[in-house]
Amino acid sequence: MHPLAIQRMMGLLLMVFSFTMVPPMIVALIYRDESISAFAETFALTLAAGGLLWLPVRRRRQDLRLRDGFVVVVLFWTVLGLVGAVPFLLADTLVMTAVDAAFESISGLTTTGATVINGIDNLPPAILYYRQQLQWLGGMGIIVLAVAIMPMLGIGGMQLYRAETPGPLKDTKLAPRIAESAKALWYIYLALTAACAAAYWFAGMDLFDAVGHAFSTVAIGGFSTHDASMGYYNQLPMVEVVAIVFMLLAGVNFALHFIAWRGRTLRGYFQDSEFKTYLAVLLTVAAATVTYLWSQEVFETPQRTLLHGIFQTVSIGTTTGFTTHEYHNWPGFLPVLLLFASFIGGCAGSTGGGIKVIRFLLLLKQGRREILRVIHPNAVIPIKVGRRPVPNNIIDAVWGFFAAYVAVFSLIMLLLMLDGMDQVTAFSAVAACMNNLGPGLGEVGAHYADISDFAKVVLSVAMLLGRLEIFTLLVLVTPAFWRH
Amino acid sequence: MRSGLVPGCRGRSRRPAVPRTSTRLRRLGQVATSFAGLPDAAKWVLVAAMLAGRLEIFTLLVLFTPAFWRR
Repeated sequence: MHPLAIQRMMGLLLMVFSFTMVPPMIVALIYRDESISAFAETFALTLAAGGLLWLPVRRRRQDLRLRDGFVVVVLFWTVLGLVGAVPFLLADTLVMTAVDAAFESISGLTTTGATVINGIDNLPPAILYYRQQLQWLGGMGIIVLAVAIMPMLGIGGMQLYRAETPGPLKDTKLAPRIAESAKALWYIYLALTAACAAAYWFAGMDLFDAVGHAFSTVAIGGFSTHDASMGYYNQLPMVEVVAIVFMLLAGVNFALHFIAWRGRTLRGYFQDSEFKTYLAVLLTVAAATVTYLWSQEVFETPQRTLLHGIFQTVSIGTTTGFTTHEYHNWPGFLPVLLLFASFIGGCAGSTGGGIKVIRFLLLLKQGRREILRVIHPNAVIPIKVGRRPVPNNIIDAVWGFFAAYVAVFSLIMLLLMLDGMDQVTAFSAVAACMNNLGPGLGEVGAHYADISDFAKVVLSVAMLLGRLEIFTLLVLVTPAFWRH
Repeated sequence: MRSGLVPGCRGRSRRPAVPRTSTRLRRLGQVATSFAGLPDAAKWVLVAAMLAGRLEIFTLLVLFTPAFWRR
């Protein structure tokens, strides 16, 4: 453990983060919006706090090791989550308690998209822009986390994606390789965002909304600048089509996008088992949703049924969480089916949440192997993903991850019910927050404003747990981690 | 005023919170006391669920695997 090196890093991080207050200030200037002072104050405060942390230890240029990685990652999300709440508190145009502000900010940065604000349409433009930007920045962090850091930390089988490195892993220097892959992936992220904003604009959104929604689409976030979310654009079906395409793209492993970009070929996608499973899951759920919506005559025309059915499946299934229609009031099993789809979530290495498609695939394959083992007790049956056998320790890690996910889920749900929340709301709220999805069912179908402060704090932790893939946080509360 | 509200939008309609007392007595729903009120299809599904649970799932699943019937 290198506490001083970690302090130096956090100081730098805060100083960099303080500059993200500049774009909302510019937006406030353009729209002559009074909330500019809130962002200016946050900018100064954060820069000063970061400087104070960094100055005394600025020469501690030690290499961070694996163990520091856990601490840095957890601090990164919690500290930025809390600092990101400051503008919500300082803005005179907005009345928010500390808990609400923290919930909103953490929900933004973890790209969950659950909101405690009712009356989003009446917010000043700078605050609206800032919420969307939080999601976009969160998405940037997630890509690095998912593609570069999680595989190195080896969370829940993600070592599957670790590039071969010579020598024992604990001696690997984290920084250079992360920086290298981060740069390449951010270019792709940037390009996707620009393309998405342009597409929304052509589809009929105004420029402000187009950029804002592009931010939250590519980050698989789900914040919107309207209470009605994407439902605000019900008269513009092309907006929904654009959203579907870019949510789908953002839910794919960014490493695949990188390979496709570098090789100028789409072959990489269709050779990837996870990508194929991702599409298969979404297609199956979409087919079930559209069929059931049609049989229950929820929408009048087949076109609307098809569009809303596919949109809502992709939005919930990738854990984005945009809504075009009150999906939590859809008939029968549909709301829960969609929530279950969000447990599978996006692909590993994407901005999506949930358990991740690759883990789901490995769980299925392992289940099938168990059946075969019952039939042939002595057979040695390898589990393969794309013709490559998967080592047993990865299968174990995935099962451990799944078990931890279920256990943490159950505990949090019980806590919420202990606090007086009804069962449907509690179940859906935990699912929506842990999967980094956003909207739930019941009382949290539209927004999270009406739940208790205790529930908001618990759910903020759930969002962080989900985003940090549970183990990163759990590891820190283990005595063995702190022992030398 | 509740937190999270913006001045000027206080009058917006807001879904009323579900009254807690009405749900307190039937948290586990229609089957808390008896399964008599369920439709037949639900009963069949639950019959299968009981068997699956008692046979530890795999014993049943194996019978639906092509590999089991081969040879």
